[in-house]
Amino acid sequence: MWSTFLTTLRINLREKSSLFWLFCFPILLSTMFLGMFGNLDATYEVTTMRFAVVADDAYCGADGTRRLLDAMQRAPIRPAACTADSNAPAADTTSAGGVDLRDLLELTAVDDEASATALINADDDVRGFIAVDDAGLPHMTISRATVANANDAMGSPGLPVSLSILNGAFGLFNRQTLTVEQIMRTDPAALADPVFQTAARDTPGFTRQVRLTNFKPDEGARYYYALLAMTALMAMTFAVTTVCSTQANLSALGMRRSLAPLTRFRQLMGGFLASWLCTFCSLIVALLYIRFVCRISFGGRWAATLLAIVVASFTANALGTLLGSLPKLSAGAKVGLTTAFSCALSLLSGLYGSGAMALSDWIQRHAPVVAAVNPTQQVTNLFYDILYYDSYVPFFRTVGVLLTMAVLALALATVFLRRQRYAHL
Amino acid sequence: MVNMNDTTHADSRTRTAPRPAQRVAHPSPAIAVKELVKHYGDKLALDYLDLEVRRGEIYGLLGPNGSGKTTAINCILGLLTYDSGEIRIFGEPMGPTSYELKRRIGIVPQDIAVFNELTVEENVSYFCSLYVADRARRRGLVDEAIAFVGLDDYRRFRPRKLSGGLLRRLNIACGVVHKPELIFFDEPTVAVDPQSRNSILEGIEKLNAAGSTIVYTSHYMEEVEQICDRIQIIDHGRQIALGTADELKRMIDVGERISIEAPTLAGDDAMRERALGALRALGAVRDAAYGDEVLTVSCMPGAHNLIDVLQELRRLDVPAGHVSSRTPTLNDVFLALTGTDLRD
Repeated sequence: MWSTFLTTLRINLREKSSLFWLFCFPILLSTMFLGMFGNLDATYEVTTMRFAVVADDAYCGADGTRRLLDAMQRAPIRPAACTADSNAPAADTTSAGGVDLRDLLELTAVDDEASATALINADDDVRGFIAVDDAGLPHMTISRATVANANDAMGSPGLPVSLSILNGAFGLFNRQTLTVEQIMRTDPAALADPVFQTAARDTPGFTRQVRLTNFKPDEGARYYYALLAMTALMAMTFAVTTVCSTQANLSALGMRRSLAPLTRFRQLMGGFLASWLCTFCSLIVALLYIRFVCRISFGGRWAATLLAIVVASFTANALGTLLGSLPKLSAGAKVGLTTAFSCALSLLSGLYGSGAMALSDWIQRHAPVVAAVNPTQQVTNLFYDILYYDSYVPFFRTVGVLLTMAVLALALATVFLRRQRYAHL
Repeated sequence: MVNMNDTTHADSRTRTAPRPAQRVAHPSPAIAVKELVKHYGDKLALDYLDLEVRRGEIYGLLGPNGSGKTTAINCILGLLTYDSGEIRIFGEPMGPTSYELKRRIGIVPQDIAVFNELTVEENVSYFCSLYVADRARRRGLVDEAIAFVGLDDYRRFRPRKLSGGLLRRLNIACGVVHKPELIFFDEPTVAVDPQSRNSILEGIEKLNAAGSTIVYTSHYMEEVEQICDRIQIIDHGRQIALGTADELKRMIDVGERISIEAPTLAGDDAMRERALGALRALGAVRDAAYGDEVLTVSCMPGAHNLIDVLQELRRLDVPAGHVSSRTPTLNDVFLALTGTDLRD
């Protein structure tokens, strides 16, 4: 059995097409995902924008606007034109979700709007300029280049959302300022009313970011997990080939091995262990690449991640053993079936893009049994469970589902292979 | 064992002398098959086939395509199920789990049965490991087998780098590395050049001389005639004939065939009919015919009539050109017994 194990290991590691599909292909696909989804998170991150600010008399006289702008800079500017500088503290712009708006702006003071316009036309890095009107309200003008970039979320990740935040802040500030000013003109007594004060401080309609899962949801991570699942299923080929090479009706090699005095069980066991090890290695390589190159998190739970790889590779080989043992099919048909299964089941687990992911979610909601019997979905869930849940219960539940699949597959394969003799060769 | 490349080619005479191994009396034959019946659906593949291979002999199993010889071998090896009959190897019933018997058997299949991803040495070593657990002993056996088939210079080569002849030799090394007592060779010389073929046949004879019993199937009659002690011809799943090559030749009603160039008979119908009539009247001549300026005379088995035929032509004043005489071959026997119709 040891000799069969070593020989199968050698064969698997020297088979070029297997090496490509099981070691290179996941890395290539991960790299592709990195290109596609790598900027997805950055798109929603605040990015620091360079803006010019027209430091004229209106700006210097607008204390509220200056406090607002100071709150959105890491190093607030103090234009020389504003001799009577405000000593009031900047507004608190740190949100509960951890987004620090002091990273939003980097301002450069200019004398007038003409200078500001010249600057944004000359330097594409300056996104626009901010000017304060006679009423002390800020207004934003953005450059043509910024308009173009703002529509390219992939090329300029974070710019659209940062512009939206800035625009939203100015809009809110201006509305509240105008409201307060109007009330001061028409009903000053109302300013002393606690109800009014509360209403003015509140920001109705805003969404507070809270975290319910173990990790911040990462849209891209699910694709990588589905890729790991596909890699595991593709590795069924190892087991299929191993089983086929022991079957007398499929090749002369199988006939020769069937005539050997080493029992079929020991030959199959040696081959199974070698194939399991190869699958494990291919998943480990893919996992390390995904973790350290693509920077996809597995929640820092390395022991669970390792167990997930062990279980996924074991189940894949059990299913491969079952496919390899199917009677009345040629070895080529079995390998073809393996590839077809891997690809089709990966579609249902969401590997092939947002449409497939939506299909996967739909299946999970409306046909949970289909999701439960889909090994690629379950392997995907293994990593998903590790990342998102505080508790290990969902993870071990998924482990249980996969091990049940593996045991059933091996039992069926045993029925097919046990004392196999042929009516035809 | 001896390197197959180091020795001179064996002459192509028919084997008659018993080998040393044959002189030892054994209580049971190497293979004993009794009344073996096997159907493929409605088609009868083996029809109460009997087969007995004595220990130490090279046993030729002949038959046209679809005659049942491969089915018979697969049943004997425990690979195929069969409907009825009895199969014993070395006196023991043979089945798929007869592991102790399998340890004593080697197989060299017609198709190359090696791993393309392993080197020559790794292939031989792996197949040896299926039979021999002891690593040290295995190393010696692998070296011997590689030397035996003359692949010493190709130890690190993968099968894809080997020529057809070298691949055949690797196939043989994998089948005999564990020094089996009974070896099945299924058309081991298909698609190899004459040098490799000779080398393979010599190797088989050496294995036999070392004590192995050989079951040999081939479509090359001259090979079977050259190396086999006894030959069984089967067709339609039945035994048609069994015996040594000479015994088989005596079984058929075909003797010497004489060909004589006689171009003068082509333009003289009267003389041609007279000559054919005179030749047919000779006592040992079965038939005489003329075509393409050649007289063909078929004689009775066991008779040699060349002198009589030539004298008769001289008497009739028919000038003779090139003359050839051919005694019957195993091929003639085979065709006489199994017919000349094409098979699938």
